[in-house]
Amino acid sequence: MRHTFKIACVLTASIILGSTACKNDFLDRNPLNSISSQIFWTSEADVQTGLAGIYSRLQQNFLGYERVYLDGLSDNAYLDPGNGNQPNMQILTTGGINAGVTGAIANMYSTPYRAISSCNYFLDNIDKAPVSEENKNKYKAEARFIRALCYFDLVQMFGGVPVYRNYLKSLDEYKIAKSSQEEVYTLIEEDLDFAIQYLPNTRYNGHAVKGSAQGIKARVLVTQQKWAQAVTVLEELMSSASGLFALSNNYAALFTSAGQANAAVNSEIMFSTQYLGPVNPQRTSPGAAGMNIELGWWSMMQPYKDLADDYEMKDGLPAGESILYDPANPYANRDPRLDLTVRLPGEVWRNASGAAWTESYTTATGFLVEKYVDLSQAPFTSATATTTDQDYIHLRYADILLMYAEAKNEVLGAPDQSIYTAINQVRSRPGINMPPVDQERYNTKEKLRDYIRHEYRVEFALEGQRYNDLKRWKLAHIKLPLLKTPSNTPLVFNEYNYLLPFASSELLNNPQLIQNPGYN
Amino acid sequence: MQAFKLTLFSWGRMCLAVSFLLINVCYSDAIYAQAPGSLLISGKITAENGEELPGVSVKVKGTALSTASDVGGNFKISSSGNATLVFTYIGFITQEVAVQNRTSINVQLKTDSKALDEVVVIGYGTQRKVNLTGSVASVSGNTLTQRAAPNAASLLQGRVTGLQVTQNSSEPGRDNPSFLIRGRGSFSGGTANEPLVLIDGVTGSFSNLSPDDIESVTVLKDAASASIYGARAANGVILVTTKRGKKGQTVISYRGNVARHMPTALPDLITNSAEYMEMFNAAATRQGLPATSQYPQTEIEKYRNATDRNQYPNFDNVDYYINPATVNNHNISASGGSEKSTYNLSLGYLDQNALIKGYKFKRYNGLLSYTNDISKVVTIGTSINATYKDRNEPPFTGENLTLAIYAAGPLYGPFLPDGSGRIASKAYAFEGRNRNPQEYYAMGNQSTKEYNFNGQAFIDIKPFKGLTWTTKVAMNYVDEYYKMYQKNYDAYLFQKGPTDADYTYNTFGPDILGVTDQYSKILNPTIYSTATYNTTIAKDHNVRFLAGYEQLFYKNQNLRGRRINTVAPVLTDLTGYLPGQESLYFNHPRLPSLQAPSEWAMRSFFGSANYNFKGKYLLEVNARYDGTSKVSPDYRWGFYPSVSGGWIVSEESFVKDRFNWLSNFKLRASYGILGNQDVGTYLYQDNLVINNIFYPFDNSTLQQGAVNNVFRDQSLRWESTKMLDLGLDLDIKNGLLGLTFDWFNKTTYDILASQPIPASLGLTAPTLNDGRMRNRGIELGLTHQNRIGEVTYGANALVSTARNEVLDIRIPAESGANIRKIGLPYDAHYLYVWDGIFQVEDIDNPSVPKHALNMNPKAGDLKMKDLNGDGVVDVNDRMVVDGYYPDFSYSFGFNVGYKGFQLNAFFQGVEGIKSRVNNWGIDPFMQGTAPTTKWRDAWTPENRSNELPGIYIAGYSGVANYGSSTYYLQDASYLRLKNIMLSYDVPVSLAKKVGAKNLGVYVSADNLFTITKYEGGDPERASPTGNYAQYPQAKIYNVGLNVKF
Repeated sequence: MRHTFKIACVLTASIILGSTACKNDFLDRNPLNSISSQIFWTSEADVQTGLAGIYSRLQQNFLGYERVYLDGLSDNAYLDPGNGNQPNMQILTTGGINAGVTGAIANMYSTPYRAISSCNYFLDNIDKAPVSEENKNKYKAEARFIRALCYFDLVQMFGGVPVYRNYLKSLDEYKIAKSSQEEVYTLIEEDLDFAIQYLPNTRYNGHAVKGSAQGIKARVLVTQQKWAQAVTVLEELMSSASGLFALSNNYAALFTSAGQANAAVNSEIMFSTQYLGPVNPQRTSPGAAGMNIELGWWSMMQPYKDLADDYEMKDGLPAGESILYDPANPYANRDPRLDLTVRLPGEVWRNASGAAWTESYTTATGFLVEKYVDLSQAPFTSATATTTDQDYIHLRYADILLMYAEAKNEVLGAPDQSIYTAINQVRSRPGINMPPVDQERYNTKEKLRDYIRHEYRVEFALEGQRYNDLKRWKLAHIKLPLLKTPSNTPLVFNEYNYLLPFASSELLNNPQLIQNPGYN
Repeated sequence: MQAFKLTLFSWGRMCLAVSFLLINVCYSDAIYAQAPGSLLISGKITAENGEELPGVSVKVKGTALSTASDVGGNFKISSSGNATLVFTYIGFITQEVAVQNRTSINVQLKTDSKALDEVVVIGYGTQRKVNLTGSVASVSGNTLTQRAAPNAASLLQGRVTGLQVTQNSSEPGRDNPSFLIRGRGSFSGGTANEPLVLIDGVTGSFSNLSPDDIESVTVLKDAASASIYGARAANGVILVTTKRGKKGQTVISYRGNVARHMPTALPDLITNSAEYMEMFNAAATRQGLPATSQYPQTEIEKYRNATDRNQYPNFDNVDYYINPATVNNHNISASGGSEKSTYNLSLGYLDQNALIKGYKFKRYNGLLSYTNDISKVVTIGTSINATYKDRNEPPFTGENLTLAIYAAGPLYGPFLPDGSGRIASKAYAFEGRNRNPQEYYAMGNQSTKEYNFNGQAFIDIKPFKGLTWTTKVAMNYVDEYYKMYQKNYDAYLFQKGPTDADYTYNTFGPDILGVTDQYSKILNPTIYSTATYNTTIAKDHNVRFLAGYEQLFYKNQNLRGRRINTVAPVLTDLTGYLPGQESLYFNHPRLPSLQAPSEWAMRSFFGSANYNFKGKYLLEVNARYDGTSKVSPDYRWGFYPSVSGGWIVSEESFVKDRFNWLSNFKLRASYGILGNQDVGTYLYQDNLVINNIFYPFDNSTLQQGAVNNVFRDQSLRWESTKMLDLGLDLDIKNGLLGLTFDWFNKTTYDILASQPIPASLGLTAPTLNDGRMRNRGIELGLTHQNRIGEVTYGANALVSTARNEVLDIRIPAESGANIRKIGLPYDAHYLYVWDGIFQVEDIDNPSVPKHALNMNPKAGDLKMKDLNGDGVVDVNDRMVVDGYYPDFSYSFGFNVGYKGFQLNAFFQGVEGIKSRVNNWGIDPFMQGTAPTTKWRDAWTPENRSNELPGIYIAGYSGVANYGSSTYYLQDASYLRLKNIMLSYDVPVSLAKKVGAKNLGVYVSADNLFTITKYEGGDPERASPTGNYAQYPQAKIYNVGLNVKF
């Protein structure tokens, strides 16, 4: 009897102990289909995965291909109000900017912060991983480069914003006052300086490189009108660019997947948001879309005549002064970049096999976006969405040259040859071959300044740059009200619209945040 | 299937073999005791009805001599001639008989109904009912099986105060009711408000049990009784105990039940086609739809004057598709035991046909339990419950097929009139329709096969008197195989144009084409060990201590795959399909929701101490200390204490002496804290999502990325609930009148809810502890049982209330038709107030308020009240309307017995609930749905109704824009004769002749009639909002047989 009892006790005790004692981590359970931070950051591969996560944030909203729509906020193009992915964007141009409006404006605020959050999370954790100091610094430099890019976006849109340098643990730590514009720029420059120091000085191949950071730093500086510093950075960049960066030999091909795969073309690209079909194209969700479909088929953005008219004639003269101008055929004999950027009235699009693509939705302005539309893929159907994977170019070498021209012009009392040379390089690239700048005509700082701005517009038209350029030149409130939408509503840009408002929900959820002037 | 049958057969055979083995073991025990120099006494022990009682303990008082009666109730024992024998048998009054030198003593034991109720299963043990200080209700299996519903869980409806059981549907295999104890406790829906259900102490599924296998169900309602389950007990606990064998004679019992199910209520839709078409045209004209969207008069006349009803039918879809169905339920069990062991083997089979064609459900149950006293101090045992459920359905489930039946309209039947057997889609091309129900049958089907295994083993060690050490190891395993199969099919317009060569092809086609398979499984092992010590100190101080440890683990896994293309659409297996267009984890709103694989674990320590002084003053303390994987290590452990006390006033001599009719009068009070562990897994961890996160550096290969999307708060804790309960139990004259009353105040705090965050966080909102909600209510139970001569009769009644109120909420919501705001019931109806119909003179009448949602009303549109009197009916003119939760729920029953006859009637009702329901079956022409006949009296300029608007096509702005108004609110209160049963127990002597110990037959009916104001459908619904169309509830007629051998 006692025997049974003992056996039973020992047996029971061993069952309980066996199931409990040896498992101290019984209550530590990690997700099975996503990676718990508890088990991450243990190898270099983890770090690379985390880094790819940061870059993937660039594919969202205005950090990715949809950035081209920012031209719709400028004098370059009209936005179709029907863009479901960026709702309420068109009304921003006709006086609809206020704190209550949601959609596109909310994306302009939240998307950079999503990327910033990823960067901070990465930066706060990478030191846990066993990675060589050199590589660690390179990875950090990439993350800080992207963080700078995002804060730069925010500061241009909203002015001073809340700045987070770390991934914070409690909700209250996020509810802070905004930093001043200067403070935001300080962080941006710090990040970019770190990136310039630690990124490899190589050709761009998807990962940010030293040239990417130098170029963005230059843009940050010219935006702040720190001209002399900009010239220094740009000269450094240009002197080491040989073999790394050069203008593309084919302007049109810069904006197609096939072109971007060609070394002679992609040498111009210094930073871009990358896509790769069929798994990771521009957009398949919530519906099949992307540039080909949205611009080439649905006509979501339609260039204004004002843009088309701004292109010079082939001889380098404005349309009104050139003998090449034919009022019956106003867009013939123009700067070749016009036809490569805009579908002109009467133009028939054909794909590689010569078949016409005529299904584009009607354009109210008479023009369609051609840049970034890959006609070789026509006819566009929802099935072509998975092959629409053109990279959106944030920075290309032409930008470096024009920024150099602009900054140098501001630094000097009167233009020197280096300025003309930089502009001429852009104008005379293969396939464009526009004549050099008329140095007689644009012989003063002021005249040349206007001309450089003009060159910016035609070179980068419909790439999403114009809105920020007009703002940094303080021209938006002058230029935009001169235009009307196709339905004859005048465009509105008030002085206070140089900064966008914070959403009223944001003010509610972060009581420390103070609204930008003009929106209360 | 074939393979399964074989398995089941061989498994059953094995079980039988085992049970025979056990029976042999039982019989091999010799059952008598003898002492030298004394009388050998023998005799027979029977019950009042003459039944021979085996296993009765016979003891010589004051000695260690004892024995038990054999299978025939016979016993032999030796004792001295002046000794006293004590006969003890559970469920019977203990009898003492003086030997007085007799050698033959026959004893008749009297049943002790009070004693039967006296011991109640509680958390980790049992307790005498009189000693309970918490709010505990228990129901015996016999009471439950007075009804014969297919689903065991639904049998609890109306049986327990404070437990709201809602049968959402009678759809076969999807008829699991929802449970709510003492009101809604959490913001999140679904299981976060459901009580913890434990089968024999461990996690399991109530509806997997065969009703006949249930010995008893205990519901722990207050904090004192539930806090021993700590963080899982916030919504109460339901303890189900399955039947075990009893020591003594083998009992083989069989119960067979055949039921006929019929719909309780269906809408009265117009089935005359010409009338339907004219009403449609009237609606279309009123709404200004063009003639092309109306029925041409010529076509109407064809229907009106048709002699060929095949060509121009007045088709009644409800009648065609919804029909009575037969349900068979059989249960056979063998149970018994020797002095040392008991066993129970039970097999159940349910074959459920459906009210709507195409649904079918089968359930096979097996339960085997066995215990053995391997020594005086050690008992081991096991219990294995295996269930296989096989559910077949059309590709649409729930209300979907019902609404398609309503939507089909009378103009066409399932097939083309030409007799070709081809399927009709609708009558005319312009009609906007759902699929014709027949299309769903042609489209494919879906099935779910679920294997459920719940096995446990335990060991009880009783090293010395008063101490019991119990350890249980259990495994709950669910294996489910789901399949959706759809193929392309052809359908045509029912009416052919005069020049058409053939019928026009017209079909929606399938919506989840191809084969979609899902395999999933859940593993849920539990181990617990408790030590209980009972003792009495200095005669008056009774104490009981319990200490225990438990650990739980849960894991689910699944794999889903889909393929679309095949050369042979008849193939239903994934491998028969081409390897193109395939996807893993494909999701679609109509497929079962994708469950992310997950696991969680809990580890707990718990204890309780009971003290009672002289059986008058009771005090109990319970506590549980729970650790969970769901919460960060720093906040992982939660402590859930409770205290309760009772005073048995009737034991006081000053009461006992004066009021001797007062059999029991007890006052109770309890207070405690409970937790809610149903909070989702991994909520506190930073989880890096890798699904669909890539970046194509260099534009040629995708690098896997990982991103953190959601902000997590490490300090997340469990939701908690504190509850105060005051109660009393009263019993007058041993059951003549019984009363149980409880008042409770239950506050849930630290409710987990999504929080508003600044977008600058760059992450989606975290779930945080924030929010408080209170439920207050009373529960009252009354019983009466009496006997006059040979007639026994009784009555009982239950009433429960729970008032819900939000005390704190971070994000109030009042944008929809339901409001979440401090001071109001959570999600209360928040509606425009319907104020009749726009009459002709109201149009452009400045004294009639403007309607913001219908700026240019037509006469016949819905009119709303301008509550704030500002001349405009807008969002500020909505008000909180009672009825989202019932005022009270109640039930009452009667029973009368005479000789072998027994008549039971049981009513159940819910009062004060209002449902806001719309669409199919209530809105005319919703996807073609025929109007109900009351629409013949719709508003017209001549018939100035203020009750019904002008006839409209569902979606019409003059009505639909005020969908969130009291116009759509229906009183869903009801009182129904839940069950009435007439049974007859054939006299034992007669039963014996057919070799049976007991033989009973019964007829019964469920939901025989319902008193309600709810129109055209059954008021009992899963939710007080949503589609009016529901899978019909069933009225059930049963015939059954009980036999015991």
